[in-house]
Amino acid sequence: MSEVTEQTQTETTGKTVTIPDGVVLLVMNRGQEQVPNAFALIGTRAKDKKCIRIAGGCKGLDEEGKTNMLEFFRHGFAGYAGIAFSGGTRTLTDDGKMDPMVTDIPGIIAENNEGVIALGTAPRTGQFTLQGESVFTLDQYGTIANPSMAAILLVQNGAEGLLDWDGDVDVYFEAMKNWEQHADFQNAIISYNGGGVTETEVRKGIKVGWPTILVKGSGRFTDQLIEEYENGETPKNVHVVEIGNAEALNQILQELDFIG
Amino acid sequence: METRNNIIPSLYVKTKGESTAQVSLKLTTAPTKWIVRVTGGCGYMSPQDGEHLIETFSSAFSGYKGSLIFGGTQMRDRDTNEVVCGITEVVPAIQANNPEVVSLGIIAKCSDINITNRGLIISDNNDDKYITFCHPQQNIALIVQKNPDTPSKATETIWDMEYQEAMEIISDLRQFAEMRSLLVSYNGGKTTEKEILATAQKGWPILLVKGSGRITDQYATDISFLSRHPHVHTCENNSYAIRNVLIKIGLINNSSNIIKLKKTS
Repeated sequence: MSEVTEQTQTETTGKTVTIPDGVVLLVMNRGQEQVPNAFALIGTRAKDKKCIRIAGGCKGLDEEGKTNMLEFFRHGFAGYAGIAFSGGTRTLTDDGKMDPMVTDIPGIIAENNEGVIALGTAPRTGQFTLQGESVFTLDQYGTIANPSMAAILLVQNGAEGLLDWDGDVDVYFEAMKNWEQHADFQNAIISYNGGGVTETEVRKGIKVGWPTILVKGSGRFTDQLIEEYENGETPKNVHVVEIGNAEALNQILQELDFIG
Repeated sequence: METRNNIIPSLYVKTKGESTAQVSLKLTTAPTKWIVRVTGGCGYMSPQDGEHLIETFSSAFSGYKGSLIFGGTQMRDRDTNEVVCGITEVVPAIQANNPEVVSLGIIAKCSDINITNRGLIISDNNDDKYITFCHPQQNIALIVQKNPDTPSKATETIWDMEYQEAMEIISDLRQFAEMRSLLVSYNGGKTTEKEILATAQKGWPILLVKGSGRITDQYATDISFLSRHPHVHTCENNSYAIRNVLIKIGLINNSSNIIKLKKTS
């Protein structure tokens, strides 16, 4: 038994598949097409009919900041049992370890809460390749398909066309709208740090009317938006929690009926 | 379309091969993760047999809370507008007693479709005593066409589209939404046979009702077929026998006797 544990520990790298059944479903989609059945249906495996998209980035965060981010979400989502949704990538360090990003948050939430389904989307921004021991790699920088997710929807602009980093936004919004309109799901967005793409998706989510939680102190766009609202009027569906205050995040999720 | 029990069917039209994510998602909203496909026909059945069929299934499925897929049509007498008690009345009858059920009717487009003040007409041949309507009591009606440009014509290939579409939807629900499925077959002819064989080949559970007639009877008593497909169940043609199988496979709860069952034979 101890040998198995030891082996698991030594083999666990940033590339290791951590989804419980060991299989990450990769689904390809052309931007203008409908959300594929496979991806739409796999979301319904979640115990509760809730979906939270975690938008944002990690620019400016050091290793400690990234670790704190994961812990913040790990504790803030205690008791959650819906879809945990984000970008579908994973970034690796030079020695093959996981460099934690926002896209690793759904996997952390799923690992700690029974009934959660971690899902991701990613635009095809580079050439897909199989590298090393057949690791599915999304671009020339070594970004890989996140192995902690149950399924990843890869969005491409036709077989030969590339997309920008916002190339999956319309498709993932369509997926969330499908879950909401046809499968009785409730949607929400959380914004953490982030740049231009995050701005597009968060403003879009607020406009659609979904509850949106902004994490104050996480940096860049999210803090700019909070400042903008502090100097003007905050939409009714926007909520703010302080960075690091996992209890407050959990409380808001309970009040919004996403946990409980 | 006429409605009963406050159900207004959502109508979708799709060309064979297109994605049906919205329809499939709707089927996941039922409280339990079961999908039952009811297939077959009513060949050589009297009106009394038809009434028996409805009563039998209605009682057997009491307490069911999953999804149902059926043919999606309703036959009515051209002159009297009276509904013919056929296999496509089974699912609406189950749903009438179990309001949490989500029903999907799949209709193969076999002729021009007309919207009239009597309902959505799927088939209306002046030589025929009956007119076929889109059934007004279902949550979703999915009309499947070969393609938008090919003139509609009732052929065997067209009829096959219904079960093929049902199997595609069930396959996705089983694989991606972790739902369980059951094909219930009653009576039926050539197309029903294809569906039984294709479903058996996939290893999905089937219930063949003995004594219901024609092709279902043939396979329900085919020892060789049954021994090759252990996931195929058979039962007598009464509500107790059907219900026992449903309880045995976990489709309904033993304690969910909401209405008094009538023993029919």
